[in-house]
Amino acid sequence: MTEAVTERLEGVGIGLRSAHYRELLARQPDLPWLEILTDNYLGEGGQPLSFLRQFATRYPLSFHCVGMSLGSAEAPDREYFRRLKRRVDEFRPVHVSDHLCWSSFHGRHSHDLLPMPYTATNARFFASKIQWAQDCLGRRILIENVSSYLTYAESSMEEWEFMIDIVRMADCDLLCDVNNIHVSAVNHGFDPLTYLQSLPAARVREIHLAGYEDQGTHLLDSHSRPVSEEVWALYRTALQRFGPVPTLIEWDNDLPALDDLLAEADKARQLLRGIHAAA
Amino acid sequence: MPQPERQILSDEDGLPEWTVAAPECLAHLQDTFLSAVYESPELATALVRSDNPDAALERLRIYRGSVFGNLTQSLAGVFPVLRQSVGDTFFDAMIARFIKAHPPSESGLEHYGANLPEFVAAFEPLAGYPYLPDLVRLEWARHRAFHALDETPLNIHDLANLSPETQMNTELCRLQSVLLIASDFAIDTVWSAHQADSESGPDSHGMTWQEPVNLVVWKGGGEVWIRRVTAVTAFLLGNAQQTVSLETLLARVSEAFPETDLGQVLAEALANGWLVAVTA
Repeated sequence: MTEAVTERLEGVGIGLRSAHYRELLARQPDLPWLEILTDNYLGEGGQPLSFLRQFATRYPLSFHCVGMSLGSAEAPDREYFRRLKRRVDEFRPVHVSDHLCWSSFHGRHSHDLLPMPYTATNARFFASKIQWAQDCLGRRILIENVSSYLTYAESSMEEWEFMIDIVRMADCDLLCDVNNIHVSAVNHGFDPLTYLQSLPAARVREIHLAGYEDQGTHLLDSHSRPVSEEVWALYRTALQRFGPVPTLIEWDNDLPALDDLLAEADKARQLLRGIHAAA
Repeated sequence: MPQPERQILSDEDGLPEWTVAAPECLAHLQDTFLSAVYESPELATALVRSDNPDAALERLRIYRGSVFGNLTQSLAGVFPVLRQSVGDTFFDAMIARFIKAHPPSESGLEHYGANLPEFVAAFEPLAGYPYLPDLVRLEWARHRAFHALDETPLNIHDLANLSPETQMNTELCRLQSVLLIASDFAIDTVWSAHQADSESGPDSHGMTWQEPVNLVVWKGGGEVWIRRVTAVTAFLLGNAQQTVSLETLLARVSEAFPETDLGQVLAEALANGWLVAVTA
């Protein structure tokens, strides 16, 4: 398909959250890009959208979606995609991404990122849905791996095998969430390095980092903490394998002060620069 | 490797046609999984790979907890005064029942909670607090105003520059971000008492809230406002929900409230930016 994106993201960005709107606008910190939770800006108008228009004049944007529900066993939600397309056409973000998941079925919405059963049939179906979304938006999208807490009895392949298949079939890009790999590796008992080594490096266009909570019986992808030491270590490996891929610090719950978030982004920037300098 | 099915046909909305049949197994799994989340985790243990049903249940409960937690957090953000009024524990327990009875049916989370006022009105443990459903309605109105379309209101000076005949023929209506609430209780006072900068504090012991009020909720200058208005103003705004000419609007107000100073009521609505001119 035609590559609609000419601009590239570089360096370490942060997720734009409403609690930081005013401070970010007032201070305009030197950030290479911002990522938005696109679904918060799909309404007819309202305050979030008018803030976004102000940020768009200052920072390149990445659109991170949670509502495509690409894995749902039904037709795409046309109203959702109409709204999304309108925003994408208006802002022309550098990346548009969503998750390897499903969220709703037959009128019931979970507003959560639910895992897919990993089978060859489902991989073909998922890839068809990505192709439809890409045709709809007129651009390639990025698919992100999610944290998961169960394995379906009917799954017949590993998550990374499923991921590799859909990338090949749908000609899409990848958003590698290093924290999600760690969380799922602990929850399911696989080696996170196997996952990282398997992904097609040339397709990884963005990396996400976040903090999790240890719930005793499992790790929970809470986006409420600093990035853990294990995830920083895995991030180093990811950078060595994928190169200096633009990276985002995701923080949604128990949101820290802007300076603390920027400091976390700075840690990632140091690592990314180190790898880049060595390359 | 077999390739996915693909067929591109544009339909009238400019989006490609979707023609791929979904795998039946996947549809069954997703329907069962959502029943596990919103009804009972026991319904889906067979879907999960595990050593025993209890372990499968534990895994499903993580998702149930995550879904209910996210939705509760979202509603707590929309209804902070309700939450303060009933307490966190009560709120969370009540909302869990609400979620079970009304799982989200739309992809936009900002639409979720529209029927909470009716749920609260019918919620037996809160029967002794008859003002609460209207308070919840007020919080929902604030939420709707915040997310409503940004429109440029009709300016009083622009109107004044028109000839009298053109003025009267001007078609106008209420902005989408301007909402009306009528209540038998002083819910605006209750709401204000729960704000951080309130001097009176939220303690309602010994106070009666019974006092009919008409409230306007609207968005202006980056904030959402609440103001108590007269029955005449409420009538005018109520009649401007659909497009109407200024002449017809004022005639209706005059008929319902013959003693009213029409100029004053209209000036209030225009000065606050509650009306928008509708062009054909």
